[in-house]
Order: sequence, then C-alpha cells, then structure tokens
Amino acid sequence: MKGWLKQAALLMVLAMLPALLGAWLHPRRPSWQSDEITVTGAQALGAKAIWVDARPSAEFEKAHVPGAISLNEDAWSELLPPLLDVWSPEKTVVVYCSSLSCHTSREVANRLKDEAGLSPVFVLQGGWEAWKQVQKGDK
Amino acid sequence: MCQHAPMWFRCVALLLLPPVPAFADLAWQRTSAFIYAEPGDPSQSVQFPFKNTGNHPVTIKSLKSSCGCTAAGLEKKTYQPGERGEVTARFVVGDRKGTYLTSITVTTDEAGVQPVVLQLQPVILPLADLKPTFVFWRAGESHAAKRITLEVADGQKATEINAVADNPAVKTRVVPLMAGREYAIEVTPDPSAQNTKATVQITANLTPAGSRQYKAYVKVK
Repeated sequence: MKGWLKQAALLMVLAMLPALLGAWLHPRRPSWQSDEITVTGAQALGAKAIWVDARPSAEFEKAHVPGAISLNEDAWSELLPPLLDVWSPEKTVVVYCSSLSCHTSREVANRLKDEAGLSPVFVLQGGWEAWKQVQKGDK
Repeated sequence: MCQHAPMWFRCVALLLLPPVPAFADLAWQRTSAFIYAEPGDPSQSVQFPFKNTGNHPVTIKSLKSSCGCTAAGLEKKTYQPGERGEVTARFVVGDRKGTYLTSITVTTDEAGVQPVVLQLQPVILPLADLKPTFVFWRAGESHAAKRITLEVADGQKATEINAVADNPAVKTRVVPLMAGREYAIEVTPDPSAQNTKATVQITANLTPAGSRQYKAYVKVK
C-alpha cells in the first residue's frame, strides 16, 4: 500500500514539473492577477480612473458613467484618440459594458493592453447594470 | 417484470421520465455560419433559410441577438405550411479583430418548442498587424526613438511601406526587419517636443491584397 502511494506521489510530482515550467516560461501564460474590479473599487480610484464605455455608441449617448469615454470596436480607430489624449501612466483604465453577460468590455480591455500597451486596465464587474445598482443603493 | 411493479413505483418512474420536447415545424437549412472579413470591411450579411414543414402556420415571435454587433431581420413574421423564409443576420465588422461568436435566438409561437439558436462565427483577420499602436514619452524621459512593428500576415508580401506623422515635431523612419514580412517604424520626437501628440499614418502596399492604411498614435508629455 505504501509503495503504491509513493509511486502515485512520484507520478504527480513528475507531471507537475513540466506544468510548472510551462506556467513560468510560456510567453502567453495567463496572469495570476485578476483584471476585474468592483464598482466600489473603481469608485475608490477617484480622479485616477478613466472610465471607458465599451457599449454601442447609441447606448452611450442615452446614459453613461459621468466622465466616461466611449470606445467600442465599431469605430475603434475613431474613438481611441480621445482616450489616449487623457491617458497617462498614473491613470487606471476601467472598461465596462452592459452587464455581467457581455464580453465587449473584456475585448476592449484586451485590445487596450495588447495593442496600445496601456496598463493598468480593468474590467468592471457587472458592467453598467452593476454601476446603476450601486448608484441606487447610495441614494 | 414491469407488470408486477407496484402502482406507486410506476407513478414515480413516469414522473422521472425526461420531458420530450415538441417537434418543431421550422426546419433550418443551417444553424451556424462563418464570416471572413478584414477590419474596416463593410457589414456582412448571412442568411439562415428555413421551411415550415408542419401543418399549421408558424409565427416567429422574436429574434434576439447576443451582441450589439449583430442585427437580425425577417421579411415577415408568419409562415404558412410549406412556405420558405430566411433570417438575415447582419454583422457590423467595424474595427473588430479576431474570432467572435455571436448568436441569434429565434422564438416561435409553437407550444412546447424550444427556441432555436443560430450561431454566427465571424473571423476578422488583419492583413498586417501593427504593435504597439501607441507610443508614449513621459515628462523628463529621453526622446530616444521607439519602435512600432508592422507584421504582414501569411500569404501577403509588403512591397512598399511609408510612415508619415501629422506633426513636424515627430520624425519617422521605416526599418526593414524581414523584407516583405516585417518592418519597424522608428518614431522620434524632437528633443524640445513637450505636451505634443501626433498620428502616424502607415501605408503598406501588399501583394496580392493591394494598398492598406494603418494608424499609430504618439504622445509626448
């Protein structure tokens, strides 16, 4: 029984070695840090935060987080320069879309990091719906 | 053996049977489709044809898209037995890049029939990729040249690359890294440049695709 346990432990260690090496050396390893931020966490950033609204422009026109900049993939090259104008390394970018189920905020955040090289960039948990809920709760 | 099972056992077994969905009258020619495009292409449309194979008219009550990037349309709502129709999905390519998966949920007035999910998989690949698209110099940082790399996709060959900044305080120079495939655009702000910005317009002549334009942004604090 003991020999069997030893063999199992040895196999586990041997299997973990290449996995650990891969996690350490892989050029596209996923980040250990979460790239999501809560509404209260984002609000705590105050003036350091640049809010980016990744929803379609028509929805942005209806309502948005005060001071937010519209940036979506429908017109990326047209909408990106106003964000770069206000960006500086001291700022934190917070991207949101409609709700928990939308993916556009993550796509926009990834492009800001990968293509424009901005950092830090966070995705707002729960998006615009969560932000509205928090505002309701504050009143 | 079943005949000897007690009545309570038969009732429980009956309750545990999985529900059988009603048979849908709309028969779809396909429920998924790919779109291949390049960033900046006009919107692309795909048709999902169907036929009412049942004995009763079917009304499509709603078409719900999973993404603001996809609009779904129908010529009319009610289809008679044997009648054909199609759902048109229009995907806005815009400046999107990469692989997407969007869906349209079709709900009809047929009792007990689950909505049908039509899947659209747009694949939007640029013929050349620019990275990074933004270069930045902090206040007090040396105005040494920074590089933007232009990499041409497989199957294409660049024959001529030009990079022009719209601000004379920013100089550009194209350096071939791998002829026809990879180039560096060196961007250098004037030593005296401060609180300035520029847009660098990069033109690439690609074979066989033709001329393509890309933009990179420069900011100096």
